[in-house]
Amino acid sequence: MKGNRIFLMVVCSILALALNAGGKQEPAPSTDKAVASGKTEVIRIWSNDAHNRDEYTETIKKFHETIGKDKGIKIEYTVYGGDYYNSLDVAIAAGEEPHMFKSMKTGQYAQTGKIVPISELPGGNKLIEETKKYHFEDIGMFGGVVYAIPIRVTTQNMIYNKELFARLGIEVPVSWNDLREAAKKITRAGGGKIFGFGIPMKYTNYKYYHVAWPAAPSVGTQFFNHKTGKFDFQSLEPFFNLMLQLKADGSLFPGFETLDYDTLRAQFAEGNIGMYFGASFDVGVLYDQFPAKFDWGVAPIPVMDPNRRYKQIGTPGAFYVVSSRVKKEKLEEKVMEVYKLFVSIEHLALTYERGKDIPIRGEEVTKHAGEPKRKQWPMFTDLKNVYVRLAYPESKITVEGDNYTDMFSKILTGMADPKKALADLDKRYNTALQKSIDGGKVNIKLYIDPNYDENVKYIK
Amino acid sequence: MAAPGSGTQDAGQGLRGRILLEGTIHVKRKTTKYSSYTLNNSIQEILMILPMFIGFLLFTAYPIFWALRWAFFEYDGFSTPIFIGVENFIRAFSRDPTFWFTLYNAFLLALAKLVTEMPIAIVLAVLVNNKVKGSSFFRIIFFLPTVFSIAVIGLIFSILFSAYNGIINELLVYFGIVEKNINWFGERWLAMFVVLLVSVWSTFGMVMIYFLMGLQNIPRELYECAQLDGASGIKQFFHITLPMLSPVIQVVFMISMIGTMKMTDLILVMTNGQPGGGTEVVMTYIFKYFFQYGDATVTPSQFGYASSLAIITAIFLSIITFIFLKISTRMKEMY
Amino acid sequence: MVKAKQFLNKSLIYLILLIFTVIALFPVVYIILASFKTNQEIMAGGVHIFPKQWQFQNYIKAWKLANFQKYTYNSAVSPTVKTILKKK
Repeated sequence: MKGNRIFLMVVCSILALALNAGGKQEPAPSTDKAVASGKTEVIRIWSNDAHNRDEYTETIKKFHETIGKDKGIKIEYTVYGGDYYNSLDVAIAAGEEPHMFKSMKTGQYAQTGKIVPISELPGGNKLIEETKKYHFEDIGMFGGVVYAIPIRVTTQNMIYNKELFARLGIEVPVSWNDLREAAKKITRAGGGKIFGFGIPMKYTNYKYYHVAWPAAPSVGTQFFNHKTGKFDFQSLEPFFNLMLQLKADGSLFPGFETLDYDTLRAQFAEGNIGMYFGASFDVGVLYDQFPAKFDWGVAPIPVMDPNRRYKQIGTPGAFYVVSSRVKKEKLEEKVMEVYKLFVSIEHLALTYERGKDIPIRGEEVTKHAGEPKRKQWPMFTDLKNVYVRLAYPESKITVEGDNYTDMFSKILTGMADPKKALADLDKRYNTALQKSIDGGKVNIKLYIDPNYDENVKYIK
Repeated sequence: MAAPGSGTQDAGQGLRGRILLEGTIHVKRKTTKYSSYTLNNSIQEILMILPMFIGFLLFTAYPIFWALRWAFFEYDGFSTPIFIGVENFIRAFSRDPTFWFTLYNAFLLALAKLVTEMPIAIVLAVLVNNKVKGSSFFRIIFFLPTVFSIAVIGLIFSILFSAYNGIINELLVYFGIVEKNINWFGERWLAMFVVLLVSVWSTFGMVMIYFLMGLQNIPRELYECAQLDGASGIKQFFHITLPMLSPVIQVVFMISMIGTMKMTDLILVMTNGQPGGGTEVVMTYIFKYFFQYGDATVTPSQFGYASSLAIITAIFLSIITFIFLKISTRMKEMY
Repeated sequence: MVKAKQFLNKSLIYLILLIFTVIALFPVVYIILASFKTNQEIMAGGVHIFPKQWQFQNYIKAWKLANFQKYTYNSAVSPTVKTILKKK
């Protein structure tokens, strides 16, 4: 018995040693040893942008060798995965949040005093002035106060299989009729293996990229009208009819009701889908994540009437906010140096060149950058006909009954009549909106673009 | 005068003897000794239950208290909660037909799963109960599906049942059973069927084990007697096996019913309630009012309303359990 | 006659067990084989059950990413060692 026990002990100790031999496996935060001249402060930054991690690491390294060294600043940049927003909330609740972090709930944090306005930081006003055009309520700005400087914009276009089009002699569609015909042709030639058009309906955030925004170049507004300040779901009716026609033609990739966006892109990369409405981040996906096996192209989204065209929609992204603990720890100056770095023209030009992010300031930044290597990228970065949208007030209203994402699914799966459903949505949403306005929760002026018509006009 | 009994073993006899001679004092002493013995026991019992009880308080009772509280408020997770009394409940009963639909969906699923899974599990348990060679091999095989996480199972089955190129469709077409691919997730009843199938697949092994354990408790002699009397295998099954298994059946029935009504993960992974809300069940519906996932959605959560829905669901489940207990006790008495 | 009936019974039992074995095992085999496929291959689906190229590095990646080392040590070795030490 004793012999057995000793034997087991030996085996377990070997196992224990072997398992611990590998050492720590956590991803090392990008830090370099900054030669301390005076006190070196560590500024902690959190983000969930995995696609441009390399570029940020590069920029931070350069910083450590120059300004960081001089001013005693060390940046600790951590990239989280899918659990980012939960981890962030937990850290904030525990008072352990980082100094700077990418945020989607800016309004919430501002209301509870967890973050500081940019104007209260040294040099902040200058940054605000530089990006004056892009401060929108509920997007980096809250209650008229700027909490985050907008960095990048995500744009949209139609992505199509160039090789397939060439093989079948199809021209790039410009109007909705062209789109229908092209999709029919592809499906017919595909013999059940290749389908003309793909649309994913599984998750709620697809509603922007696949319904609301592709309709915008044709009808001039999204589901919320930034001119009138009211919800206008009925303007989307023609687009729904187009989708339902595509479905009736049989041109839609089967199973779209529960199709995942990743699966759609994987199938496109395999050559099984002719075209779909994609976004700028798809460039990275179709090169790195699901490498396309053929030559693929980018084209403007087809419109209902080619003679009446509006700009396409761009949505601002990547908002870094500064935590209020920075004031308590008196680190304002140092954090601002880092903030300036993240919005610096140099850094933005780098991410642009590598085909990762589109700078919201457009030409101002890109004229300092080199040529992007991925040839589909410039189509997405040309902001000439992109309308960078204001926010929608949906985050401030409470709606009863099905919300519009569920209704969109119901319409597309044939469970609801488009006309009636959209009219009902308008009624319910505008009632809720009015209630919030009356209750003082929403300042509708901040969601209205006074120059809307001018701004959304298509520039030839 | 004899000394009072020394050990508790003596307690009974000593007591009887002394009570007649010595009177109350000895009884009192015996009682004291007895109660100090039980007091020691009680302290030990309480201490042993304490960890679990603390856990229960912290992780079950406390959250339930908060849910009960939020049900009477309007709260979006970060602004100040507004007390609105029974407004949430009025809304649930009068203006939210979708909630009742999802409750009905969940109930249908639970019922269908019971009707499908229990017979399969019982039959397999009987067959695998050393009736043939290699029973233990089969036991392991049937238990394997329970090992995998629901996320993996959901993903893989979505791929297998894919309307575009799923293996299931390919097989059906190849054998000429259907002409072209079935869009499994495109219609409500087809999608519910697939969810049912996957759900049964992932748990029938576990249920079979429960029944196996129940079978072990049936005395062999019953079967031997029946055989002597000339009863066939099938007669034996219905007249011995099933009745003797009824306590196990009762427990499994209840656990399975409640568990399936609370199912969220499988639906979320496979269909997310699509097509068009057709496979939405009560727990995924409530979940969506509590949590908005993804960063593109900024609609505010409705904690208060979600809590009230959760309370209503809990009451509903309790009623079902109660009805079921009443029925099964009566059935037990019949046997 | 009785022997024939017994034989039929046994075959029926085996048949039922076999059917359920296939039902239970097929997805399991698919899952195991899928663990050797690339992301794209899995999502593209199809009838190809076997991976085009066996991606053994999936396992190494998963081990590292999920920090399996630490957790396996924690759950497997640590309690075992402690139990043995206690028995002494």
